[in-house]
Amino acid sequence: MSAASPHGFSYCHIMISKILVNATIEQVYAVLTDYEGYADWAPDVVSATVLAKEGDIVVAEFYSPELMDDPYQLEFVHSKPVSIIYKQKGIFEKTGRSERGLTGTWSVANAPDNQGVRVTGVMRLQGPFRHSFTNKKIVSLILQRRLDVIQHMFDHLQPEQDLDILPQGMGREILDGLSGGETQEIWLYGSKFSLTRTDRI
Amino acid sequence: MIEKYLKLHAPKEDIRKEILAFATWPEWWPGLQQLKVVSHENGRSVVDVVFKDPMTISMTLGISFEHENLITFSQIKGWFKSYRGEWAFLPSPDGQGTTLRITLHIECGVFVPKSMVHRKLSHGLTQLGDALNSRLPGKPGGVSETTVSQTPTDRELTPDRHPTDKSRAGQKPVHIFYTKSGFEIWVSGKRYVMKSLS
Repeated sequence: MSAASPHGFSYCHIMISKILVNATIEQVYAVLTDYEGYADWAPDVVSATVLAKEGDIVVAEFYSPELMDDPYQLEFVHSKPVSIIYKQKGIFEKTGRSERGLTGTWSVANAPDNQGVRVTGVMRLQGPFRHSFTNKKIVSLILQRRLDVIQHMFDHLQPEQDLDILPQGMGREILDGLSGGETQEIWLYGSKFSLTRTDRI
Repeated sequence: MIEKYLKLHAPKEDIRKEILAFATWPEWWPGLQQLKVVSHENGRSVVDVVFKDPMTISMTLGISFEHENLITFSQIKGWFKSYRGEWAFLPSPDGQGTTLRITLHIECGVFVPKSMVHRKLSHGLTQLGDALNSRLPGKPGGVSETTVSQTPTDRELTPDRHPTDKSRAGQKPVHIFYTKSGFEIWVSGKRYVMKSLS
């Protein structure tokens, strides 16, 4: 779900997405609060560094090239184990009534009828109007992909395994191009594999 | 208010020593052209500074450093309506180096676009962190004699923190999703869509 509303020469997009996960609240919360782990499982995050921790407040720096051109810093406030609120630091925060930059929440709650855990992600991005149309799509997609991976992470919880067959439709040349060495870790449909180069096709 | 966290590789004592050596600021502080120490007493100094990046900004700053983990500063006179802030030294969560939290409170004139000033200052703080990391000893790629002799504006900042370099990008796993329109592949945090040509 998204909402866009102009504030002068800026825009505001709010994305909300929910998934059901076959896990405990604590397991999901542990993934969501392991901020340096985002560089591994979140498809869009290239690097993540925790800069400061003070009680329930954590500040971390992320680099997500599809989301922002430069690394950005987020301050997370934990309400263990059910919610995390975050907002971007180091930017011009106030424009009249609203805050600029990236803000959002993660919420974790037991689903009805013991059907696992419901994870709700909210991302809100406000910035210069000229970027609005691109950002709306990418913010929505990034949130959805992160939730996709979290869902599959628990639904298909399995140790790293060798991927002996190439996914149908993927050319060998392209996989070679993706691989930086003899072995490359890949997340395929939300599960983690170790892709080893072989002579067999 | 602008609040930025800088991850520095050196221990707190080294960073504090470098920051409190005011006379050397023009050697490494990006955009800082001139500095004159007006007074220097126990725990407090007054300095005249001139920034040029790209417009010229002159200020007289009062700097207090009585506390071990905090350095505060405020404009006594100068270009801004008001300019004050602090540098707080925090323990690094991974136990390596120091996290420096810089907080800035500024007020400009009515006709100065605040968002532009904030954006410029925020970018300046990022450059400052990179410059400090290059200046401080005890890390790979520390400052060389050649670099020291350059002015900050001439120096090309090629920080190792920037995640676009190949070594870091190579560590990022590839993510593949199957969608209605084909495979969606995320490589180094960027999205590609692969469609069948047949």
